[in-house]
Amino acid sequence: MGLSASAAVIIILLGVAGALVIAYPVVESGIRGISGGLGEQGQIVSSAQQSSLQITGISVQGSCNKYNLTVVVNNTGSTQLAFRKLTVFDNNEVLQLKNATTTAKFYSSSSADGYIQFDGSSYTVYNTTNVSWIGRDRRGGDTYYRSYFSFDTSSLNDGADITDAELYLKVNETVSDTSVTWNVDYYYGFNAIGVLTQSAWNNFTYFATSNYLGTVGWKNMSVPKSDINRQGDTDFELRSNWDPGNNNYAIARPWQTESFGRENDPYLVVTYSHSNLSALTIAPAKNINIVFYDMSSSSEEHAVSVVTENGATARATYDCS
Amino acid sequence: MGFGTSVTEAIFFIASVIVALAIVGVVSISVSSLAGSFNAKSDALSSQLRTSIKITGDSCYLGGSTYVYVKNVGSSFINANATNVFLSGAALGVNSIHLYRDNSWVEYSTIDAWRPGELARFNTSSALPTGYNRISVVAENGVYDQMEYSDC
Repeated sequence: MGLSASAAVIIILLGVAGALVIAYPVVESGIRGISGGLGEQGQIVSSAQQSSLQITGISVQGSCNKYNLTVVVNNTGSTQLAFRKLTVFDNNEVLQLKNATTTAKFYSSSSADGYIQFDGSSYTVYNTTNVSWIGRDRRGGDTYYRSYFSFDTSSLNDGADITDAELYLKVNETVSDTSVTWNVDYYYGFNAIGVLTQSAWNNFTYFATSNYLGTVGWKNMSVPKSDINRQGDTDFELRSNWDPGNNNYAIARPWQTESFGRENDPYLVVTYSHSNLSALTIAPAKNINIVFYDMSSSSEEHAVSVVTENGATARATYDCS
Repeated sequence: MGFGTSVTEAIFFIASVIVALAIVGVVSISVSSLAGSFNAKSDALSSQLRTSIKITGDSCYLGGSTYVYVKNVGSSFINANATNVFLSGAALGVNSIHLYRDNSWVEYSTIDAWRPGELARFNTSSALPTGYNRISVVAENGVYDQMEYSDC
């Protein structure tokens, strides 16, 4: 009896063990499947949480019959966004992604910007003051003042197709004891300043004249795209084109980078297009301008939604009238 | 110990072996069945975990439209033909399905699959009603998304 019972127990144990051994791979496969699924779902959720975007600007050039639409999107998440995987809706219609530009903003370098005073025989360099001087003082002599600004534009890709460049200066004040036409001649140069010294005087090439620096406030000047340096600094020299007359003076004073905070600092805005949209990505904290040309609509009111590949959405409205 | 005792022992031994084998058989069948069920369930769960869809488009402009846009925001391919669209709980007829590829709409083919990151457009047989409503889209494995819309 004892032998029979022992044999029976052994057989049962061996049988159950055998069944478990056969079943184990099947169960393990199932557990792995769930584990893998959980892992991927975690990635999906994590990716969705890390993705975030915001429409920071929307502009219309034209009217509803025919207009260009520019949507400025900022990547407010922590991961890169693939441009080609964005979807843009306008009133529940999908828009084709064909054109994108980036607008880069450069501030003037504090060590390079400033002004130079020349009295006909000697130069004096000022590069630590809050404002820069442009003008001429003919009281007791003839002293010229020229302003200098320098922008490190080396981060621009060599192949970037620049579509627009604008130089912004904020005039703090103008001082004069006579009436003048405030014409300012703009000159540019590549790596022409470094640290401002008298060697910068006359080291530039003319490109434009402005006639509105005689009033206080922001002034902008278009810069030819060929005058933007993709390998280093883009520098500017501003010369007055007025004669205050004998024993008179007239001086315009734009803010420099040494002024408190950023709100008055001179800056250069460069917009360039992207030719390879398939490879284009938007890094965190960066903007992209999505441009749609030749649109037309019978509706004036529009809602634009931009959706990433994992569903993060931003929305804004515009009126094309 | 006589001959009779040996026979008795042999009979008990054989009987116990037969019973043991029967128990093992039953246990093996049950374990195998459980393993198979677990595997099937885990496959279904794994598929659901990898699938995620999101109704996109603008909720202010769904009313009056025949298009429902859905993005595959998961990591698995989806059979768009087996994906259903509901309006406030009632199934909507879908005339056609298109996928957005390379800046153009391509009609969905049963040979193809709705890829991760891809946008699908379900063309409903009748325009969505205006006013407050709820759209639901349900994938083959039960994963779904909902969007409430209204006139803005």
